[in-house]
Amino acid sequence: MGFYVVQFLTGLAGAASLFLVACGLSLVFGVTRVVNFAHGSFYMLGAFVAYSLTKWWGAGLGFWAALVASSVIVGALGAAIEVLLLRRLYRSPELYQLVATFGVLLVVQDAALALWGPDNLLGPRAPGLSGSVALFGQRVPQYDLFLIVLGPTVLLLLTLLLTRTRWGRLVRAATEDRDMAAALGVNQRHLFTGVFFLGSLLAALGGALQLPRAPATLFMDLNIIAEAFVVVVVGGMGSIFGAFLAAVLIAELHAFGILIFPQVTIVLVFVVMAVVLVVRPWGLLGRPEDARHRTPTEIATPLGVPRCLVVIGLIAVAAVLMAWPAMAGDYGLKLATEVLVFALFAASLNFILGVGGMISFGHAAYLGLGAYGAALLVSRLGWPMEAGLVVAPLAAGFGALLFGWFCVRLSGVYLAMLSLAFAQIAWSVAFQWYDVTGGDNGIQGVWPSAWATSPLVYYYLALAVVAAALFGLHRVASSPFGYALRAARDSSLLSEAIGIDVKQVRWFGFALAGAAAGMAGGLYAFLKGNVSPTVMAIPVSIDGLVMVLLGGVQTVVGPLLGAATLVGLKTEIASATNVWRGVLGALIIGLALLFPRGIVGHLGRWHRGGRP
Amino acid sequence: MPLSRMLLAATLASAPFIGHAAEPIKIGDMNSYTTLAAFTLPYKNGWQMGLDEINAAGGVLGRPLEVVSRDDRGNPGDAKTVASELVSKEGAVVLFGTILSNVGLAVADFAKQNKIVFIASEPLTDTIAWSNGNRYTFRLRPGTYVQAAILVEEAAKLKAKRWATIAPNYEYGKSAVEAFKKLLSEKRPDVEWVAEQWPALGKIEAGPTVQALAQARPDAIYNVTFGADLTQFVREGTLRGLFEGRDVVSILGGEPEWIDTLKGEAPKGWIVTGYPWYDIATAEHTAFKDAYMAKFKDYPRLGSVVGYVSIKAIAAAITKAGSTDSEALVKALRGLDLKTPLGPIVFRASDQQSTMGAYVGRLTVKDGMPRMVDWRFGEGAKYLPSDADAARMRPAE
Amino acid sequence: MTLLAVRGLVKYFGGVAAVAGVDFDVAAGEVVALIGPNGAGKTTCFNMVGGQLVPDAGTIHFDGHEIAGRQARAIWRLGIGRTFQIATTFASMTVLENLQIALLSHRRRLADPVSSIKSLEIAAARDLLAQVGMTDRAERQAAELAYGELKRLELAVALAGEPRLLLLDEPTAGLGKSERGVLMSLIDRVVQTRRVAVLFIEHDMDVVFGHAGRVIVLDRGRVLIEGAPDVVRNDERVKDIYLGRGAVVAC
Repeated sequence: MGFYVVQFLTGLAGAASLFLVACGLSLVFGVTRVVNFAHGSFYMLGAFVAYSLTKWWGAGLGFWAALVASSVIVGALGAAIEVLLLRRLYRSPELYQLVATFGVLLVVQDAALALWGPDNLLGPRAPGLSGSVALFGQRVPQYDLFLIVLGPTVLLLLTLLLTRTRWGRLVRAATEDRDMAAALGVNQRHLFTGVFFLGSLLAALGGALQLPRAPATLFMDLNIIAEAFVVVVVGGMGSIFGAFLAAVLIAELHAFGILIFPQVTIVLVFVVMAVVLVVRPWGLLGRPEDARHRTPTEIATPLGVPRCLVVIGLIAVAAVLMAWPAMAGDYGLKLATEVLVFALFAASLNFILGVGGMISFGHAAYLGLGAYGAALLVSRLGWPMEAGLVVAPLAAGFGALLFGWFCVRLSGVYLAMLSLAFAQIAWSVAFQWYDVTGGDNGIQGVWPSAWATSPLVYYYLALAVVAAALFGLHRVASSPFGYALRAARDSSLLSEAIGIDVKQVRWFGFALAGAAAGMAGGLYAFLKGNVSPTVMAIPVSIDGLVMVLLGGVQTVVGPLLGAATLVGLKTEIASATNVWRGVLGALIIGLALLFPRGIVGHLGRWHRGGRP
Repeated sequence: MPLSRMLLAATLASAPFIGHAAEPIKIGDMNSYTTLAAFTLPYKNGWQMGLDEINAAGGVLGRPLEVVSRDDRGNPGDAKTVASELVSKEGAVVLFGTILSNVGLAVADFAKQNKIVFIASEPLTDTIAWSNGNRYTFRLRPGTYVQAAILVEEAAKLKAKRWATIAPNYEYGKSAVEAFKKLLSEKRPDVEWVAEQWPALGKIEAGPTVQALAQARPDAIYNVTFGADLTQFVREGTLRGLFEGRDVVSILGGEPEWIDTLKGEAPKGWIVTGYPWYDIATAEHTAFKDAYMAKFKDYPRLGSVVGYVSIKAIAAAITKAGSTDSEALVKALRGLDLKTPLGPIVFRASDQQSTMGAYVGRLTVKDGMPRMVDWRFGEGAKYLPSDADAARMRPAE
Repeated sequence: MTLLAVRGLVKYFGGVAAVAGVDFDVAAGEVVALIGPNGAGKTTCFNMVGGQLVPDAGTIHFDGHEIAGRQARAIWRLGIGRTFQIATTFASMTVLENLQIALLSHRRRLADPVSSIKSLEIAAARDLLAQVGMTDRAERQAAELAYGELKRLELAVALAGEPRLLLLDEPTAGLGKSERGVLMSLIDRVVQTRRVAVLFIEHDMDVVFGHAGRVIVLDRGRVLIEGAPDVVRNDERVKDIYLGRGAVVAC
C-alpha cells in the first residue's frame, strides 16, 4: 500500500515541471493564438542559464537565486522575441507564426551549442533538499516533496493573478474574445508582450527546476515541446487548471502504467491525448473553439497567382525538370528526385490545408505509412517495386481513412493536435514493433526493380508519377468534390444548409491527401533504399508545413518551389557548415517575415499591384 | 530556378581535376556531429590526428589522404543523401563513420548498392555485421553482443539470482538486454528475471522507474540507459536507495563520454565496460594519449580511439590493396591486421567485424572524476561468435 | 394546405428556455413574418426548423415528414432553403461557383472528383443569377461583393435547391432603404413565380406589414399573437412590447 502512495507522490512531483511549461504555453496560446514551437527552447534555456548562474554564484543559496534569475532572464528573452519577431506576424495565417517559431527553435539549438558546448551539464542537487525522507517505508527525495507543493502553489498564484488583478482580467478577456478585449481599449501590444514574458518565464522555471534531477542537455527543447502541447490540448487550450489536471493525469498514468506494461512509456502521452480528444474534442476543461475565429487559411486568397504567371511558371518548371538530368550527376539526380518526392508530399499537405482548411501537424504519418507499406511488401514478401508503388498510396490512404475519421470531427488547432497524436502513435508502432518493422533500425534493401536502379531512370519514373499525382490533385481540387471541400472550408454552416455532408467530404479529402502523401512515401522508400521511423517523426511533418508555407498556401507551383527551396537549402547549408540548423532557422524566420504569404503568393500580390 | 543553378555551379566548381600529380585520395566521413555533438567531436579529433600522422608520413600510395567530413543529420534518409553527395559529388572512394545504428545501417545499405567500402566506425547494432551484413561494410567497434558477453562473464561470478533490467526503449536497448539475458541464463540457469523497465530514450521518468524496479526486490540490476537518462537514473536511484546492497552491471558505463557528466556522483562499484584511458600503460596507448592531449588539450574519449583507428585502417587497406578500387579494398580489408592503441586487431574475413575488444572493471571516483578500477581487457576475438557461426548469420552474397 | 406544422417547440440554453413551447403553421405559398424583440427566440426557432439546432422538445412536420432533430442537409433535401442573419456565402469562390456548387449538391453530383466544375450547371446558375439580377457579377469573388449583393447571392443559393419553403433570417438587415425595396420585390417575385412559401424574421415594420400575408409575434420564447398584419398591428400587447420596451423597431 505504502508503495502505491509513494508512487503516486512521485508521479505528482514529475508533473510539476510539465505543468509549468504547459501552462506557459497555454497562456501564450490563449491570448495571442500563437502555437509557439520555441516554447521548449525557453525551457531548455532556463536550465542552461540556471546552471551557469549556479556555477557563478556557488551552489548554496546561489541555486535558489539562479532559479529566479534564470526565469526572469529567459522571460525577458521571450518578450524580446515577441517584440522583434512575432508581433510582425500576428496578422499572418497562424501557420506562418508556427513556422517562424520553429525557426527560433533551430536558432536557439545552435546558439546553445555554441554557448554551452555539446556536453550534458549536471547541476548541483538542491541545497537544503538534497536528501530523502522515509514515507510509508519508502524513501522519497525531499526535492520531490518540494515539487509536489510547488505545482499547486504556482497554480494558485496564477489563478490569483488572473482573477484578482486588472492585468489578469485583461488576459482572461483576451483569451475569451480577442476582438472584445480590443474593443475595451486594452493595449494589446503591452498585453501580448507581458503574456509572452510570463509564459517564457514559466517555461524557464520548469527547466531550471529540473537541474537537481537531470542534466541540462541540448535535447530538452524537443523532448518537452510535444508533451507540453499534449498537456495543453488535453487540459483544454487556454485553461490553466486544465493544464494542471492534464499534467497530473499523464504523470500518474505513467507512474502506474510502467508497473503493468513497461513498454508503454514511448506512446502513453499520445494515446491519452487521442482518447481525450475523441471523447472530449476540446480537452478536459476547454471550450469549443469560437466559430468566428479565423481559419488559418482565410487570408491567403485562392488562386493568388494570375493564370498567365502560373502557365509561365509551369512551363519553366517543366523545362528545368526535363532538362535537369543533362546538367546533373548522380548526386544531383538523387537530390532532384528527393525534391520531386517532397513536392508531392507538400502538395498533398497543401491539399487538405489549402483546399480543405484542415491543419495537420502529423502529415508525415502518411508519408511513412506509404513508405513502410512499400518497403514491407518488397522486403518481407519479395514483391517487386511496381507492386510496392501501388500499395504505398493504398496503405497510406487506408491509414488516413482510419485516423481521419476522428480528426475531421475537430477543427483548427485541435484537429492539428489530434493528427499529431495519431502520427506519434504510428511512429511508435514502427519504432517498437521490431519483428515486423525492424524497430528504429528500419528496413534495409528497399531498392527499385532492375530496370529503374539507375538514378536517371528513377528520376524520370519519379517525375512521371509526381507529375501525374500533382495533376490528379489539381484536377480533384477543381472538380465538384474539390469545390465541396472548399465549401466546407469557407463555411461549414452554409455547406450543411445546402445538403453537403461536411464531415464526410472532409474525411474523404483527408484520405485522398493521405494517399497522395503515401505515394510520395513509396517513391521515397525506393529512392533511399531504406525506411526508418524517422520518416514519420515530427520534424518531417514540420518540414512539410515549411515547404507549403514557403511556397504559399493555395497555390499550384508553390509546393514544388517550397520543396526545392527547403531540400536545396538544407542540403547546401548542411554540406557547407555544421551549424546548418541555425542558418536554416534564421532563413526561415527571415522568409516568414519578408513573405508572410509565401514566395509564390507574393509574386501574385506584386502582379496585382499590392492589392491584398 | 536560381537555386538549381547554384547547385549546378557548386557541382562543377568542386569537380575533381583528374590527372593532377599529387592529387589527394578522398575519403568521406559522416557522423552525427550536430545531433550527438558530445560523442562525435572527440571522434572527429581522433581521425583528424590519425590523418595528420598519415600525411606527415607521406600519405598513401604516394598521395595525400583528404577527408571530406559531413554531418549525417542524425537520420537514415538524410544520411543517404549525404553519402551520395560524398561519393558522387565529392569523389570519395571510401566512407567511414556514423554512430547511430539506424544511420549506420542506412549507409551500409548505400555501400552495398553503390559498391563502395564503408567502415562503420561506431554503430553498436550487430545486425550491421550479421543479419544485415554486406560485402562492402566493415565494422570496427565491438558491438552490443561482445559488450554484453564481456559483462556476462563478470555478472556470472556474482551471487545475485534475481535480476532486473532497465534499458532505453529502442533497438539498441532491446538487443543489449536480449544478449545479456540469453548469455547469462546460459551460464547461470538459476538466474531469475524479475523486472524490466523500458523508459523512452531521453525521456526517463526516473522517480517512478526507480520505484518500480525496487518494488521487484532484485539482487542485481542490468542497466543499458545512458546520457541524460543515466544521470537521472543514478541520482534518483541513489536518493531512493535502489543501489544499496545490490550489484549493478552497466553496459558502456565506463566510457568517459557517457559517465564523465556525473563527475563525483558516479556510482561506485558498478561493473561496467569502458575505456580507462588514464591507466592503460601500453606503449601504443601511451603514445596515442600523449599525442592526443598535446594536440587537443583534452583527454581522449573512446570515440577518439575509434576515429583514430578508422582512418588508420583505411590507410592500411589502401596500402595493402595498392589501389582505391572497391573490390581490391574489400579483399585487403578481409583479414587486415592492424596495431591500435587498444592492441592488435583483425578485420575477420568471415563477418568483416574487427576484433577490437573492450575493458571491463568496476567504477569508482578519484579526484572527483569517475574512474574504472580492477579492470581487465576483454579481447574481442574471444567473445565473438566463431567464424562459422558468424558467416551463417550473414545473408548470402 | 399546411406545409410546415410546428408544435410545442422547446429549446434551453444553459437552463434558460430560449424557446418555451411554440406552435405555428405555414401553408404552401404563404408569406409569414416572424417578429418580436431581441431575445424572443426567433432565430432559435429558425435554427431548429433548419436543422442547425436540435429541439429539446416538440415536433416539426414538413410536408408530412417529421424533421425535428434531423441534419440540416437532410432538411434541405426535403425542400427547405434558408439564409442567415449574417449573410453567409462561400467567400473564396466566385458568384457563379457559389451557385454551381448549390446546384450540384441539389443534383447529388458533388461526389464527382474528376470533372472540372467549369462547365457544370452553368446555364442553371446563370438563370438563377438573372433571377436575382446579378448577371454582371458572375465572375466576382463573393468576398468582394457589397452587402446587398451578398444578400441576393445568398437568396439565389437558397433557391438552387428548388425549395417549397424559404427561411429568411432578417433578409433586409444591414441594407439601405432602396436596397431593401429591391430585395423585397425580388422575394415577392420569387413567391409568385415559384409558388414557394416564405417564413421570414424581420425588424423593419414597413417590410413586415408591406409584404407578409400573416404575422407571428414571439415574446420570451412564446407566441404572443398571430394573425393578419392589420390585427397584429393594432394589438395592444404588441405595441406594448415594441413601444414600451424601447426602440427595437428602429433597427
